This record gives sequence, C-alpha cells and structure tokens, in this order.
Amino acid sequence: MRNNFFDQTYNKIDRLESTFSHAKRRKLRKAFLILTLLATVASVYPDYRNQSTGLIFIFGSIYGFFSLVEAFFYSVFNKIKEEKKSFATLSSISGNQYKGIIFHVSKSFFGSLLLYRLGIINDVASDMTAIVTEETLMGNESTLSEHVDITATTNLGALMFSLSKVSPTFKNILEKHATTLQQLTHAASWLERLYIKEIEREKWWSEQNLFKTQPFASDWAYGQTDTLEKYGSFIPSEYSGAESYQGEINKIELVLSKPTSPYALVIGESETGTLTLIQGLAGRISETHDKHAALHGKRIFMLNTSHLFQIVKNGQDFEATFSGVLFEAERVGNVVFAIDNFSLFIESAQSLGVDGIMLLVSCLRVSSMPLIVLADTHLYFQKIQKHTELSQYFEVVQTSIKDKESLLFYIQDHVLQVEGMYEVTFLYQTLEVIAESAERYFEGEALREKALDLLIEVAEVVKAEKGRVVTTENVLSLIKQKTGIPTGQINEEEKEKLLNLESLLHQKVIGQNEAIVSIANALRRSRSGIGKHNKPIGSFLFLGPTGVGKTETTKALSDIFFGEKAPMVRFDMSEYSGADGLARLIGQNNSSGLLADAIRERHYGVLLLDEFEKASKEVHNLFLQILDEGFFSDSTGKHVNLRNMIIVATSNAGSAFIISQTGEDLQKNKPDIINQIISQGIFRPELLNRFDGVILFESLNQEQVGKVIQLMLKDLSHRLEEKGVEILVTDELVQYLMSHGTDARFGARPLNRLIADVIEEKIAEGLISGNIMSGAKVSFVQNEQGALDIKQM
Amino acid sequence: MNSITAQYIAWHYKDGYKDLKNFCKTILSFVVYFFSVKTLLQTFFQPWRRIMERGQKGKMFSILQGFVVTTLMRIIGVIIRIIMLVVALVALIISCVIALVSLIVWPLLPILLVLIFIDGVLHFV
Repeated sequence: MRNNFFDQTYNKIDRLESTFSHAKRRKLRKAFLILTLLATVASVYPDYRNQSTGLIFIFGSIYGFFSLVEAFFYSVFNKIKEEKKSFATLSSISGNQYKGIIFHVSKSFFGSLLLYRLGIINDVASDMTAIVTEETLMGNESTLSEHVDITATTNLGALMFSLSKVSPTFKNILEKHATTLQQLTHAASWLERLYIKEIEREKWWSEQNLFKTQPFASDWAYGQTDTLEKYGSFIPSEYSGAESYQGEINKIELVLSKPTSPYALVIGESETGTLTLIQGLAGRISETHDKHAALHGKRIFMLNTSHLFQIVKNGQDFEATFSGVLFEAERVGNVVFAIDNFSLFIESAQSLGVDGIMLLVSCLRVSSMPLIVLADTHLYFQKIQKHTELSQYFEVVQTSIKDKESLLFYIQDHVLQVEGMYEVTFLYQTLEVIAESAERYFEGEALREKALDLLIEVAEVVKAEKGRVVTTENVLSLIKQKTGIPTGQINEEEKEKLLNLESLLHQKVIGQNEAIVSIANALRRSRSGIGKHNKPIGSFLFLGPTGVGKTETTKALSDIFFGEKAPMVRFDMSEYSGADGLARLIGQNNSSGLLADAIRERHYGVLLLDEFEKASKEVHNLFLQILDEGFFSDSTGKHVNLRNMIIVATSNAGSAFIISQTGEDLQKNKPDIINQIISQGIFRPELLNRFDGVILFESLNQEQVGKVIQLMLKDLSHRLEEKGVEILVTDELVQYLMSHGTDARFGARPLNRLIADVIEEKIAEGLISGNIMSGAKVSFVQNEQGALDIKQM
Repeated sequence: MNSITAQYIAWHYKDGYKDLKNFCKTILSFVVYFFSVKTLLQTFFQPWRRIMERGQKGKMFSILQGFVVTTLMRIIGVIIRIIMLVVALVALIISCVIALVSLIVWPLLPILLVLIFIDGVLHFV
C-alpha cells in the first residue's frame, strides 16, 4: 500500500500554491484593484460611462474573486500553522507526482528554494533524468513508503534527506556538497520561518497586527512630554531583528515589572546591539494587551546622554537638569526611562565634577519609575560591579551570546536585509560558516556585531567581484585576509607541508622523534577540522634537559606552520613566580595584562612559555582554564581568545632523570618520570592532563650533537655567504666543537656561544682588518695549544 | 469533494463564515481599543494632560488659584473626552453596520461576483 500521505492533499490550496503562488496572486489582485479604480475615474466622462461601468464590474468582480481566494489561502495557512504542521512540506508534495516525488518536490516553490539556498539546485537539475529513473526502478510504491517516513509535521529538509534513500544519485549530490541532515532541516525551517513572517506581516487585519497600532487618545490620561523630548526620544515600537534577543527581552520585562526596584542594568557588547534589544522590548510592550501587566501602555524614553551634556553648562546645571528630566518622566506616568551609554554618562559627569553613579542612586531613592541603564562590559567590571549601592538597586541582564545556535538565528534574521542591499544571495552553508567563524576567529565579545560585520563585508566583496552568490569560500578567504589565519580549503602547498610536517621539522631539529610525531599529528587534526574548536589548536608540555632542542622545535613549528615572518609570543615564566605573577599577566585595576595584550596583538601563532614550572600556582591555574576552554577573561572582564594558537610550555623538570636515562628507552620510563614530577609537586596531575601532549625530549647522543653542529655551521655559512666568505666545514672543526661545546647539563646550548666566540669572532676580525676579502675561502685548524686558528685557502 | 472549487465552497460556508464572524468581532474590539474608550471612561474626570496645581499651604489665594486651574483642566478634559467618545461611538456604529452587511452578503458573494461579472460583460454586448 502506498504511503497515504502522498495522496492526501491536505487542502487543494497548497497545490494551488505550487502552481500559482501566493506572491503572484497578490500582484494580480493588486493590478485588478488599480484597473477597477482607473475604470471608476474614466466613468466620470459621460461618453464612456457605459463601457466604464462594464469595466468596473468586470475588474471589480475579478478583484473580489482574488480576494476570496486569498481569504481562503490565509485561512488554510493559519490552520496549518496552528496545527503545527509544515506548510513547506505540505505544499511541496501536493499534486500529481507523475515523475516521482523527488522531481515533484524539487520543482515545488519551497523545494526549489531550499535546493537553491543549499547551492545544489543545478546539480539536481542536471541529474534529474537519472534521479527519476532510479525512483521509477524503486517502482513499487510500498518500497517507497518503507524508505520515506513522513507526516504533516515533517520538516521539508528532513523529507529531502529521507528521499535520498530512494535515489543514489540524489544521495551522491548531497554527499558531494557535504549537505547534512541538520543543514537541510535548519535551512528548511529558516525558509519556512521567513515565509510565515512575511504572510503574518501581510495580514493587517490580524489581531496581532491591528493591536500593534498606538491607540488614539491613549496618552490623554498622561502628562505632556514636550520638555522630555528635548533630551531624548521615545523608542518606536517597530519590531525588527530582535528575534534572537527574546531571552534577554523576557528577562528585562521581568525586572521592569517588579513592584520594587524595577531597574535593569543591561550589559551590552555594543551600542547597536543594545539598541536593537530596546527596540525589541518596545515592540513587546506594544503587543502586551493584558491590562494588568505592569508594562501595559508604557513607552520607552531613551535619554540621549551625549546630547544632554552638550546642553548643560556646569555640574550644578547637570544635576538639576538630570533630576528634572527624571522627575518630568515620572510625572508623565507611562514612561520607562532608559539611559544609553552609561560610560559616557559617568565620564562626562566626572569631567563636570559630579559623581554620576551617586546622582543616579539618589534619584532612585525617591523614584519608582521603571529604568533601564545600558552599559558596556568594560565599564561594568571596572566601576559598576564594585559599587555596592548601585548593584543593590539594579538587576544585571547580560546580552552577550555564547552559543552558536542563537548567533546563527541572529544572522538568519539579518540576511535578507543585507541581500537586498548588495543584490547578492547567501547560500545557507555560508551563514553557518559565518556564525562559526565569528565565534572562532574573533574575540569573545560583541559576537553578534562581528557576525553582522562579516555578513556585510563578504556581501561587499562578492558584489565588487561582480558575483551573485556568496559561498563559504568567500567567507573563509575574507577571514584569512582579515586575520592571517589559514582557513578554508587546504591548498596544495599547505597540504604538502602538513603531510610532510615530520620531515620538515627534522630539517631543523635533530632527534626527538616522539615530540615531532605528536606535534605533527595534533596539527593535522586541527587543520582538517576535526580538532576541538573550543580549545587552542594544540598544547604541549616539552620536558627535558637544557639544550636538547625544545625551543628549536617550537621555533621550527612556528616557521613552518605560521610562516617565517610570524613572531612567536614568548614568555619567560620564571618572571611570574611571585604573588603578582597572575596580575601582571591578566592585568589589574583597569590596566590590561602582558599576556592579554600580547595575545590581542597577535591572536594567531605560537605561544612559548619558557620554564613553565617556575610560574606561580595561580598562573598554573590560569593555564588550566586556557588549555581547557581556549580563552580567559582579563581584569576588565574582556575575553582573550587563544583558540587560534599553539601553546608550548617548556620545562626542565625531570631532566636529571632524563639525563641519567641516556641511551635507554626513555618512552618506556615516561610514566615514572611523570609520577616523579607530580610527587615533587612541580605540576599537578590535572594540569598535565590538560595538555594535548606531554613530550619528553631526550639527551642528545654524540651522533646527534654532530648533526646539530652541522646544522649550526650550515646556518653560519649562509650568513657568511652574504659577505662573500666561504667556510669549509671539516671533521676536525666538528670534533673540536663537539668536545668543547657540549656538556651533559646544558646539552647543545654552549655550542651557540662557542661558535660565536671562536669562529664568528675570528672571521669578523679578519674582515675588519682586511685580511679576509670578499670571495675568500676559510677553514679552521687546531694549533699545538689546542686552540682554533683561522686559515685562508 | 476533490476539486478545488468544491473545497472552496465548503470552506466559504463553514470555516470562511466563522472567520468572517471572528474578523467582525476583532474589528469592533479594535475600534474600542483604538479610541481608548476604556481609558477615557476611567480617567473621565482627570485634569487634562495631568496639568494641575496645588496651592501653597496656608495661602488662601494660592489655594484658590490652584483649585481654579485644576478644575478648569478637569472641565477641558471632560469636554475633549466627550467629543472623543462621541467619535468613537459613531465609528463603532459604522463598523457594526458594515459588519452586519458583510455577514448578510457573504453567503451570496460567490453568486454575486459571477452576476456582477456577467453584467459587466453585458455592457459590451
């Protein structure tokens, strides 16, 4: 038996919708109204009266016919909505599916829109013959109903996804574009939501729309507002783009409805965000028909802070004016008072010698009017939070979004507007990438605005390139351009680098196989997109004696992965061992900290923490959070994002043990070494566990030291090449450096100094004295006293 | 009952008529809401725009002055409110008549439209 659902057209109106859409009908209806009016005008002339009357009747009746059809449509639409069924699904499947369901759904109004927004409509169209054949081969209708489970509430995206079981070709197309069930469902509900919103807006006669109008004479019972309007304005109750703020609006509404202290302190990320929020609140109030609701009939008055300070002459004048405005607003009787930009309010008051916070507090003692104060996060942490009396009066409402879902919702609300402005179309996947990127690549604050900026900027770029469709690649390349962080498709060069990371690292680091393999693996995980997004790209603790290549490995990593020009952020953690260590890193008393500043300046690259074990316990705790969540809050409460960094901490802890193990299998003894470090209280186990890898660096054996020397001399000869001097690297020289430049305690570290002291020094002398000329070839030989002599060849 | 015309006819005389009744009700309550009839009645004797003066205590003349101003504002308020209520009443009556007519005409509308259309065409014949 065939799945009943496909036969059961919910109502013929949804079939009508797919053949003769609502938008078209609306236009036609309007056209007939205009024709009727024109005919009415023409009927003024007696010569044409008869014909005109005829036309009025014809056009008028057609207009009436369309009006009835629309009334029918709205009624059915409403019913479907009330029953929580999906209009998109119903209208996409109703009708004769003479070429199969996939064909039918793809050609329907909603179906084609969905495929278009996902960027797969062309692929589906070009493979349609194959899809239709496959579906016919499935043939038997009962098999079909086995595969496709659908009811009237099924989301159109989910329907599309289950249809992919019927046709392998269709499935391939979805897979090729990495279209997931979640994406299909989300995109479909977004499109349906937009459609419903549009229809609801058209229905001017609906209760919801009618009662939104400001009633005539509603203010007559209240005072006049002329004086008030000199210092600010009433927020219109137009309701735009505030859908993603519903949570915050609910909270503010609750606070403002309290019988005592109806004061809300809205901590916003930015001004535009908080303004949208307040507009949303105004919209909500205007929709409140419950006469007993505390905010019924109220209007929001927003004090324009900068304007107020332009008007007042001095501190006294400011105090008098401000309390006057507040009093006036209270006298009016239906005002919710809002102060925008409270930071400016406090600062300007201060410049006039007035304590703005105290002034507000003293006014609140004698007032009972609902009040909203808009402040930024910075100010809140800096001043307001510490002000006990003020924080007693106010209830704080945070507006920052932390989750991707509501950010995506916010973006979806604004897409059409941006599309209209720039004449481009965003693929649905693009919106997801924008939400993800805003969260990942930019500081934790002002996420909504960052996302909106990205939306607008990418639209600008695509328009400038004469493109029409914004793809995920457009977004990713914009982000790469803005941040320098490689995103998007991995290109050939980078692919090469990632696949050969081990050998590339080995070109600069001798030995240390375990370390290099772990690092390479972690980086490949991150770049392939399977790494965790809410953590740093990678985090490693390098343990081992001095001079075995810990810092060298870190440098090599930074050069290879982030480019040679990218400077490392380097901290000597022994400087942060005191009680003030933490404060210096994250800041205190309004000054930002060294770590916070360094990361803000360059939030992408390698962070090297030398001698990590020497940092204080508080600093270790800070890194506990950083390694876990990828961010920390500085002293002003602002987020500092380390999710695009590789964190390398180095430590000598356990090096005595490592040295004693030279020649043995170090990896076998790794648990012992780590246990020893823990039992000595150098690192706590939870800290060690947070690192992606605790990596042991072995002492170098003679052969490895020889290779290190070769590397160093190669580097030196590169530098000498610029001066036109060639150095001959002989076994004798290598042997000399090996015996004089290394020891068990400092590994290969003394080598650098030895090369500088002996070889570089001697060549420099020769160059200055003129003994060595450009084009010369030099070598070093040991004299009888055992010292090195330079010899020109 | 499968053709769209049949479905429409069924809707027109059942759900459609119900919708129209609801719509009429909404419009009538909207008129009451729009002219703030309830607020006007509740605040019928309040001074116009809350303009009122209280005389200084102990000063006879001042108290008298305050009383006069407030009373004047009350009278002005009452007059304006009466005018408004009359306007609201007229609007309400008109809406009622329109609602009544549309409820009567609605069942005949499909036929009426066809007749009007035919009549229009006949003007050219």
